[in-house]
Amino acid sequence: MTHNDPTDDPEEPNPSPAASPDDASRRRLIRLLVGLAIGIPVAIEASTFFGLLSGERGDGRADIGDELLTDTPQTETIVDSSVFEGPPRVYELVIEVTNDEETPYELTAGPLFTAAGEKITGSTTAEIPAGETGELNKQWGIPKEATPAAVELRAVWGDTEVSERVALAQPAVYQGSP
Amino acid sequence: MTFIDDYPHEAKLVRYCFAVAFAALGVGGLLGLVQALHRTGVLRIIDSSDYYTVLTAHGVLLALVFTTFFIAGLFRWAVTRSLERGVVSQRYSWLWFGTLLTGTILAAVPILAGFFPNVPMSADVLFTFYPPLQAHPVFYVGAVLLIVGSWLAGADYFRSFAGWRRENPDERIPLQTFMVLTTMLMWYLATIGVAAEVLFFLIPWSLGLIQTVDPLLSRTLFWFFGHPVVYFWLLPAYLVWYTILPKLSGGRLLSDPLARIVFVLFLLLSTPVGFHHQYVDPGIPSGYKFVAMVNTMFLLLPSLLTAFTVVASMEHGARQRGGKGRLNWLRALPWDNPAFVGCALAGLMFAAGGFSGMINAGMNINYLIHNTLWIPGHFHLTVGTAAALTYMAVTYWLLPQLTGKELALKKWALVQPYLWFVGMTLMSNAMHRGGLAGIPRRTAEPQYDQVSFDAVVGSVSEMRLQIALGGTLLFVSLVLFLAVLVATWLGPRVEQISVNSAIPEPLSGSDHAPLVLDNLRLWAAIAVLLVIIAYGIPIWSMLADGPFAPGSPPFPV
Repeated sequence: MTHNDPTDDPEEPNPSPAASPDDASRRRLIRLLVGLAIGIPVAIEASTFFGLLSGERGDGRADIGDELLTDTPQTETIVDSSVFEGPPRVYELVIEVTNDEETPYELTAGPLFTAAGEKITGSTTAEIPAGETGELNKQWGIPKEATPAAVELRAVWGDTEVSERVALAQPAVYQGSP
Repeated sequence: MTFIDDYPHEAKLVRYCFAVAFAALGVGGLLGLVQALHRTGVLRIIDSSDYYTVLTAHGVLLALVFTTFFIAGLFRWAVTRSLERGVVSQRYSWLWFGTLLTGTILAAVPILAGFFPNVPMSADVLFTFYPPLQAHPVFYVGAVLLIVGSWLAGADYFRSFAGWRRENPDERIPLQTFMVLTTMLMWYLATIGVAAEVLFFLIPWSLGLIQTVDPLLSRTLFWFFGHPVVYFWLLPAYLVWYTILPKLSGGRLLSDPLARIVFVLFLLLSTPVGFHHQYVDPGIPSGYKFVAMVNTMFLLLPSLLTAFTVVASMEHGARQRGGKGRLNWLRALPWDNPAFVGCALAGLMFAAGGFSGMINAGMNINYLIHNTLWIPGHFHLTVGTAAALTYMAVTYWLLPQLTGKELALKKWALVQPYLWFVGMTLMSNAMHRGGLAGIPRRTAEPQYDQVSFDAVVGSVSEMRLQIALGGTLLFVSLVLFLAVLVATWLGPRVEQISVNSAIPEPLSGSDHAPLVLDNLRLWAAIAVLLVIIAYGIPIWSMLADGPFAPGSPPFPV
């Protein structure tokens, strides 16, 4: 086994800054390469990371699996939120309601609001007896290229009434009809 | 005196191995570009019905042929150099090379025949060749010869070691040889699974001698091999990072004992983890999947040890070169040396690949990304960069020593690893995000009328563009590498190459390593025991069901 003198410098160290234009241009090339090769990936990964974080924190918009009215003791969860191109073009919202309380619960969804601020009238009310789970299913006809952005919800149980306009996350889009 | 002068036969053998490896890399890489542009819808020059032919060729040429030939050559160099002795028998060494080459040709012919409908053979079975996908029997014979050739190559290294040991009974195993031998022990254990699958089931099935095979048993035997094969690819890169990268950085390896411990851990833990590729397979009890998961989590340890040791060694080198400060020493590293740059960037990218691998390893979170584009996103970071880029980078340092010629087109060589790093970040980042959106892998046209994918970050169309752009940059980088290779090969021999081939001793040497680390028999026995624990009962119960039942006829029927 060859034993090298530990004081040997196995590789030539970087030359001290040289006056020659070739060396200067080489150093510029290295700086450019390192800068781009590290900078571009860092930018891509950082934007992905912060994009994921903001997705997790949420932008306050309700999506499939989210609870809609956190102020009510009952649970209202979006199970489907989809646009169907049809024709006709339809937005369908399906909410599962779990009423663990001892009084009946009434949930009304509608009207719908688009991202452009247009109000689409029409509402549906689901009545869920005490201790049961039920579903509210409502479809609205929406114009071409309109994006559902919010829905009015009104919940009533006993003497209590809660109303809230809930922002909706961008729904999935499908061809055909529901 | 250079390696070619001291060991002309070995240098020629390594050159031939590298030639086949890089020819496979070139063809496989081109097909990778075709795939990337096809499935993103950017450019379609093949029929979608040929996509699996392209994908099989890409996977087999890169993940089996390129890797195996390069590793065989690198290991022959490492053993020769560290033991300071050549092969025991030149004829034997050409025998294993010939076996590997024959296997490659036999496997490649049916794959490529898939492009020609008039030719009555095909092997559109992908790198994993799961039944009921069935290839022409010649493909399987080729695969067997590829494995057998690697066994013969391993025996070549052990024979060299045995000769050295007779003359040096009390010396510690030189570190590079230690790494080669532990890797090959792991490989011998790992390939038992795929050899059994191909010899006892797939070849008879493809010849019509048996009508059905049990897909679960076949998959289990494949993944018995399929996880440790990634360490077969990775450990040669680790050999480079531990023994050559510190020297390229201007310093020395921090610790020889730590390096030995890492390789022993890989010998022990690489194989009893294969069920983490089969979390959604029915017929395997969850308890054994859990055992595999735990073993896989343990596998993070040797990689973290490596990260520490290699970075510390690089820091040592940087400070030898005048680097100062808490982080400023990074600037003193030789960023103008393509061999260093490729190895360093490969190691950096491996960290990302390792962490995405931990996601894959987690039994529940695996379900989120199973069979999605996340999976190729992961392995392009690991085998596609940690291994492949390291192989390319170390070639810049080795090639002059193997040929006696100066490296040509040095500026292109310098740009190449940086370009690979950027291209792979683009492609792999988008693949990971595509996987989170549910976009499937192994699909020619993942654009569906009835389904839209919900991008977690960004948009699906932007991801497609990013994959196409990243794949294109990778291909350009590959062309640069091959151009440097060819130009060097065609260049003239020189009196004295400028590469310094000396590798200094580690700061903490082999005399600090406990003797038990060199007890390869002990570690091999424990590795076998762990495999019996992890696989014994599940495989026994699959066999007890009847090895061919529940069986599947071949597809296409």
